[in-house]
Amino acid sequence: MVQYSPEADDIELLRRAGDGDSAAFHALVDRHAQRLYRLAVSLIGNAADAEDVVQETFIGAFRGLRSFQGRASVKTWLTRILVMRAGQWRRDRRRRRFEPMGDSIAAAGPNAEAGLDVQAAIGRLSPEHREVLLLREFERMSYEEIAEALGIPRGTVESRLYRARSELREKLKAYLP
Amino acid sequence: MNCPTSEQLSAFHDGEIDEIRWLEIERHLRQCPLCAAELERLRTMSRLVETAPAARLSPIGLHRLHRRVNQAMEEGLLRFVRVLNTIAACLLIAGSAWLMVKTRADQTVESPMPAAPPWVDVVSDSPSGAASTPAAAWYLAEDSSRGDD
Repeated sequence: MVQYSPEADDIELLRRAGDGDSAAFHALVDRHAQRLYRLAVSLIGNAADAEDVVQETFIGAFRGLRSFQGRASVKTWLTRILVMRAGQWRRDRRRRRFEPMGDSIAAAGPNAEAGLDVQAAIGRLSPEHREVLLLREFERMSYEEIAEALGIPRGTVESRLYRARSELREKLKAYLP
Repeated sequence: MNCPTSEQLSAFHDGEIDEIRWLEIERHLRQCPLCAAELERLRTMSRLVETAPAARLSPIGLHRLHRRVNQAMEEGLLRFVRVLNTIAACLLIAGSAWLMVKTRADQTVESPMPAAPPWVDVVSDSPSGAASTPAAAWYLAEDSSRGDD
């Protein structure tokens, strides 16, 4: 099996995967799995289901390889699939309550308590606000990328992000000046 | 300038604002303690969000993910083979049916209706009155010779 270097371009890997190179697709999985898993756990609040959603994301990406048009980056494309799958998961299970994440969480050090409060506060945001906040704060995505990933206009990203922050600030006021 | 809106300040904090507006807000922040405090709250909150524990996919989870992707690839291949099989079967059925029809048609062309025996009188319908069989030709010839009498 061909081994791809970390420097190999995402688009190139995707193109090769589309040509039937399974090693290229596995390289993409290695590259994006942790990032997508973290996002999935934060969106869903449940580690086991988050793993399923990440699996469905990559399977969906594999089946839709030819639909990738290169308008957005591979990262944004995968994120969009994940957000859609997470939304589907929410609709299917009707399980909107944020659940503790168990032992898949890395130890957070001295700020562990604050971190858990932040995590719980993020979990209590509405799904729309949670999505936009996580993509900005965790993924460091630009407004354009967030708009592409969520399929909403840039102006909506701006206003949703502002409202998400206001809501979060209200929930975390004990930690803020 | 007037105080920027909270949305503008949020976009300023994210570096998502055009350069001219960015310079205006930056100048304003030096003179407006309220907006400066608001910006500081946004920065503190971003730092706070970073303290949220990061979930990590375990090596076993990653292995499961690769295995599931492999299954999906194999399923895709199987589906492709199944489609090819279906197409091949359809072509085979269509080909057999066509061959059967063609064979019957060829048999029909090769063994036409038997010709009428010479003693059967056949009168042509053609306006020219041309004989279509030897018997008819003989009759017409006889008829015309009788007419000559």
